[in-house]
Amino acid sequence: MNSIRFILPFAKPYRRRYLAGILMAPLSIGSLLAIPWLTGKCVDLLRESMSRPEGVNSLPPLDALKILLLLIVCFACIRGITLFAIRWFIISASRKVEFDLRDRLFSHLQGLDQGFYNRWKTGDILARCTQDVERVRILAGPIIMYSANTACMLVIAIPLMLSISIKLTLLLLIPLSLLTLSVRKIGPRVHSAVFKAQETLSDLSSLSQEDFAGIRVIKSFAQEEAEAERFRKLSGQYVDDNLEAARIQAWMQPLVGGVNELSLMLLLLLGGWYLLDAGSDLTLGQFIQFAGYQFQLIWPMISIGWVVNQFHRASASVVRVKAILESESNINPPAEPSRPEADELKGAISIRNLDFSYNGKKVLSNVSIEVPAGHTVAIIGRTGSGKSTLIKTLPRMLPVADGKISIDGIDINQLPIGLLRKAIGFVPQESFLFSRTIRDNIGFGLDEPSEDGILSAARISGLEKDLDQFPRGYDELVGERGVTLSGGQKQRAALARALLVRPSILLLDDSLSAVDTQTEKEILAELRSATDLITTVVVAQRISSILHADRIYVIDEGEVAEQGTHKELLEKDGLYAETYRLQLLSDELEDM
Amino acid sequence: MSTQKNQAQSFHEDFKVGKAFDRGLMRRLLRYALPHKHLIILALLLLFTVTLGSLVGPFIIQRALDGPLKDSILGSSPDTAGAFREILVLLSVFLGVSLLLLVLRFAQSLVMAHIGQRVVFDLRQQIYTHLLRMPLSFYDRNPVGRLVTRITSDIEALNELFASGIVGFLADVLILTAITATLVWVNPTLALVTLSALPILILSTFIFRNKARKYYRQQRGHLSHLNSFTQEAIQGMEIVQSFHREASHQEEHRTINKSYLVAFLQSVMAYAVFFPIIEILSTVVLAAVIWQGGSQLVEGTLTFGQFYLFWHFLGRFFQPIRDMADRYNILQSAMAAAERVFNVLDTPESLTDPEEPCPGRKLQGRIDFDNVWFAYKDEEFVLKDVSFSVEPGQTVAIVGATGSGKTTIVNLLSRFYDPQRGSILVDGTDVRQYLKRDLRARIGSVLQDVFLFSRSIRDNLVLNSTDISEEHLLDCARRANADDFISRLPGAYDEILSERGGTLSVGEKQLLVFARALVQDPDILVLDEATAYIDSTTEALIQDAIGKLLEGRTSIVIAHRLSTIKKADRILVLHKGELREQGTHEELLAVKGIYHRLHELQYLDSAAAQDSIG
Repeated sequence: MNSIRFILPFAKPYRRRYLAGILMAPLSIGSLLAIPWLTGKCVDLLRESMSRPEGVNSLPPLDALKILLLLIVCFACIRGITLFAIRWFIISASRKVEFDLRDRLFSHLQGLDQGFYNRWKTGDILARCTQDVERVRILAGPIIMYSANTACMLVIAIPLMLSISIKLTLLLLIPLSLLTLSVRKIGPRVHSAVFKAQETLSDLSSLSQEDFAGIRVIKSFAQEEAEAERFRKLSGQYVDDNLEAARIQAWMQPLVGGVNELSLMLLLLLGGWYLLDAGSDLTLGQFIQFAGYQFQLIWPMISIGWVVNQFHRASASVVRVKAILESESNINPPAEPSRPEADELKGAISIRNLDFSYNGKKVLSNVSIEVPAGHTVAIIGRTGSGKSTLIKTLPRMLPVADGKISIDGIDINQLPIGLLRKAIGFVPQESFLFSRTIRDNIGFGLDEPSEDGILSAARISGLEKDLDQFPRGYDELVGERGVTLSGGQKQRAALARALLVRPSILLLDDSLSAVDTQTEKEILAELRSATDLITTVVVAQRISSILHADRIYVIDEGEVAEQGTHKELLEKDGLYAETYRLQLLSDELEDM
Repeated sequence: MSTQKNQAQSFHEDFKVGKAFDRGLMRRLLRYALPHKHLIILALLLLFTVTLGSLVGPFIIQRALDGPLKDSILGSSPDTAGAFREILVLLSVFLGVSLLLLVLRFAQSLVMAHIGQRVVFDLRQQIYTHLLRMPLSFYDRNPVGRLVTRITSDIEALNELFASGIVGFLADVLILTAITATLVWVNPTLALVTLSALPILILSTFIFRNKARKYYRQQRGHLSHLNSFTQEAIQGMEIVQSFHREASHQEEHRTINKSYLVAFLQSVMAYAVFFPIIEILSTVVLAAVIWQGGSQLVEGTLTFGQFYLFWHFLGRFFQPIRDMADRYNILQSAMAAAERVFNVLDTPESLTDPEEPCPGRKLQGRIDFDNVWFAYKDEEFVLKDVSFSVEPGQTVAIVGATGSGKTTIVNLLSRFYDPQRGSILVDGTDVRQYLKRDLRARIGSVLQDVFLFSRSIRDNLVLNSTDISEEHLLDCARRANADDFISRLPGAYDEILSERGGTLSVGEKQLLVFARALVQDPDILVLDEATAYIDSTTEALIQDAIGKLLEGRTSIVIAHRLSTIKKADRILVLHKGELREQGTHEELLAVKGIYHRLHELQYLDSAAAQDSIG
C-alpha cells in the first residue's frame, strides 16, 4: 500500500481524468456484455419464429429482429466510445504522471552532492530513472485500467450468468480461475528467467565492449581465438537462458487455448444436458449468450494474475525510486547568505587548518593555504595525496566545516552557492565533455555565449590550432556520434569552457596532463597573460606546468610537506627537487 | 538549440525504415537456417496440425447443435438419453483433440524458440570471430558502441525473424485461409457477408500499424535521447553543478521529456482509436450476419450449428490480421539488421595470413627494418625510409618526440599494419611470411595506455592460456614487483578488477602489465615506457621491474627515462619520421647531434642537484 501512497500525490493533478476513465468502465463493460445477451435474444426470436406456424406472430419476427440488431449496433457504439475514453483518460494521465515523476527525479538528482555520485553507480541511477519509472507508470495507468475493467466485468457478468444457471456458472468459473492462478504462478517465473537471460546478454555485450576496446592487447598477445571461444561459451549460456525462458513461456499459449476449449466442453456438456432436459428452461439463445460470456471472461481472468504480478514489480520499483528521492545532499545553501561587495568575488582564498575525511579515512589534515587575489598557486603531490579533494572543496563540490575556507574574507558556506560557483572556473581532472557541438561545450557555462568569447577562449586554451582537424569546425559533434577528441583536445576544450565564464578564480586540476609539453608551454604562456588578474590554483603532476607559480605547495599524505617558489624548493632538495630531476628528461624528449 | 535537433535526428538513424523485403538478403539469411531445416520442417508440421486442430472445437459444437440437440432446440426431444450419449461421444473426441493440442502447442512454442536461437547463435559467433580478426585500422574507423550493436540488437532482430517472423507469418496465412475456406464451404452467401468487412479490417490495421510504428520509432528515438541525456547529466553532474547550470539543464531535460510524452500521447491516441473501431466493425458484421443468417435460418437453408460457426469465427478473424501487420514490421527491422550485419561480414580482412606460412617456433630475436615507408593515411608518411637492425638479445631504445613515429615502429613489427614500401624481417624472414598469431605470440608488448580486463588478476596475467603453472605465475608477479600489492588485495590473485582496472593506482596497473608480459615470456619485447611518477617508491619499483623485463631478450623500448636509455645497447633517434641518429650512448654523444644536445640539456640542468646528492 506504500506504493499507492507514493503515487497518489503524483496522480492528484490528473484526478479528473482518472475519475472520468473509471466512471466509464461500468458503462463500457455493461454495453459489451449486452451484445451476447442481445445475440441470444435474436437467436431465441428466430428459433421461436421457426417452431411456430407462420402468421400467428403478433409482431413479425423480422421487425423485432431489426430492433434487436439496431440495439446491438447502438451498444457497440457506446462500447467503442467508452473504450476509447477509458484508455485515453487513464493511460494519458499515467504518461503525465510519468513525466512529472521523471522531472522530479532529475531535479532532485541535480541537487545531490558528489558524495552521492561517488556512492551510486551511474548505471544504477539510470536504471531507476528509466525502468523503474516505467514500472511505476504501469501502476499509475494499465494497472488501474485493467483493475477497473476486470472488477466491472466480474461484478456485472457473474450475476448475469448466475441468473441464467447457477451450476453452469460455477462450473465455468473453475477453468477460468485456473487461468488466473497459473498466470500468477508462471508470470514471476517467466520474469526471472527473462531477467536472467537479459543479465547474460548484458555480460555478452560487456565482453564484446571490452574486447573491442582492448583489441590492441588481444591482438598483441594473439588472443583472438581464445576470446572468440570465451564469447562462444557465454553466447551458448545466453541461448540456454533464452530456451529456459521459452520453456516456461511455452506453457502460456497452450494453457489459454486449453482453458478456452475446456470451458467450451463444459458448456456443451452441461448446456447440452439442460437443452435436452425438458424440465429446464435454458434456451439456445442463453446457451449462445453463455458461450459469449465465457469467451469475454478469458482476458479479464488472465489480467487479474497480470495485475497482481505487475503490482509486485511496481512496488519494488517504488522503493527503488524513493531511495533516490529520499537521498539528501550534504551541501546546502546557507540559511542567511552573506553577499560580497557589489555581488562580486575578487578571489582572495584563505584555507585554514582544513581537515577532510572520506569514508572514515583522513584525506587532508591541517592544510593551510593563502592565495592573494590574482596570484597563482600550484599544488603538487603523488596520486592519492589529496590534491583533487582539496581543490574540489573550493566550489563546495565537497562539504567543508564552517570557518575553514573563506573567499574575500567570507566563509564559503555563507556565500550563495550560485554566486560562489559562477565566480569559479573549474577544469576537472577527467575532462568531461557533453555529446554536443564543440561550440556548445565551450559555451556551456553561459546562457548566451558570444561568438567572440568562444573564439578567444578557444584561442587561449590552444584548441584553435586543432580546429582544422574537424570537418565542421566548432559545429562538430563531440563523442561517438561525431568526432572523438584526443585526451589533450578534451582537456583544452574543458579549459576553454572554464575561461569563457570569465571567472575570478580558475581551478586547474591536473588538467593539461594529456597535452604535449610544447603545446602546454604555449597554453601556459597564453594563460599567464590572459589570466593575470585571475586567482589561479593549479594541481599538477608535471613540474613543467607549474614552474611559474607564485607559490608551490607539495602535498604528501594529506599534509603540506613543502612550500615555496620553484627556486626555493629546489634549494631545499626534498621531494620536489627529486621529482623534478626525474621528469626533466622526458620533458626534454618531448620538446625535440 | 540546433544541436538538439541534430541529435534527435541522429538518434532516429538507428530506427530508420528499410526495405521490408530484399530477395538477396533473404536468400543469404535462409542459408543460415539451412543446417536447421529438420527443425523448421517440424515447426511447419506442428503449425499445420495445430491450426487445423484449433478448428475442431467449434465444429464439435456445430455438430452437437445440428445433431443430437437439433430437435430439442426446436421444441421436441424424442430421445433424450440417446441424444446425450451422442453428445458424450462428440465431447470425448473434443477432449482427445484438445489434449493433443495442449502438447502440440507447447512443442510448437519450444521448436520455434529453438530455431531462432540456433540460427542466430551461429551467426553471432561468425560476426564476433570476424570482428576480432579485423585489423586495427578497422577499429580506428568504427566506434566500439556501434560494433557492440551488431552483436546485440541487430542479432536480436534476426532472432525474432527466425523465431516468430517467418513461421508465424505462414501460421497467420494458414489460419486465415482455413477459416475463410471453412466459411465459404459452409455457406457461401453468409461467408461473403462476413468477408466483406475484411478489406476495411486489413486496411485499418495496416494504417494503424504504420502509425503505431512511426510513433514507436519516435518514442524510441526520444527515449534513447532522454536516456543518454540523463546518463550524461549524471556523469557530468560535477560540471553541471560547478558551472551552476542546474536550471538550464532542467529545462533541457524537460524539453526532451516533453517530446517523449507527446510521442506517447500520440500513440495512446492511436491505440485508443483503433481498438474501438475494430470492436464496432466486428459487431456491425455480427449484426449483418444475424440479419442475413436469420432469414436463411427461417428459410431453412442455414442450421443453428452453422450459424454458431459463423458467430464463433467472426471473433477469431482479427488476431491473425493484427499479427501479420506485426510480422511485417519484424521483417522490416530484420532486413535492416541483416544489411548491417552482412556489411561487417563482407568487410575483408586486409592483413591476410600467408598461404604457406613460416612455421611458428621460438625466435632468435633478430629484427631488421629495411627502407620502411609507412603512412596511416594517403601519402602522409609517418615513417620515411627507416632502416635499422637489432641483434638477438640486444636492447634498443627509441628516442623521439610525440608524433616522430615511435609507436608506428612497434605497430609494424607486430604486423598491425603493413608498410607501403620496404620490409620488416624477424629472424631474417619477412613478417608477412608468418601467421599473425605465431608472430604476435612471440612478440610481447607493454603499452603506455594500460588495458586491463574486468576479470580476475589471474585471468589478466595468464590471459587465456591454460598451461601456465602457479609457480611461474607467482614468480613472474614477484619479479615484476606486483606480488606485494596483489597479495594485499582482499581476493589476492582472484580479485576481480573493476572496468579497466579502475580500483588500482596508475603505478600498480603498470606493474601488472609488466607481470603479464613476463608470464607470457615472449622472445621479443616491445615496451612503451610511461613517463616518470612523482611517487618515488613506485618509480623505483617500476625501474627495477623494467630491468628484469628486458633481461635476456631482444627488446625495443620507447624510452622516457635516462636510466633506461643509458642501459640500452643501442639508441635510435627518430625525428619527424626519419631515423636521424643511431648508435650507443657514447657514439651518439661523439656525433654531437640531437642526442648530444638532449643530453647536454639534461646534464646541465641536473648537474647542481646531482652534486648535492653526491
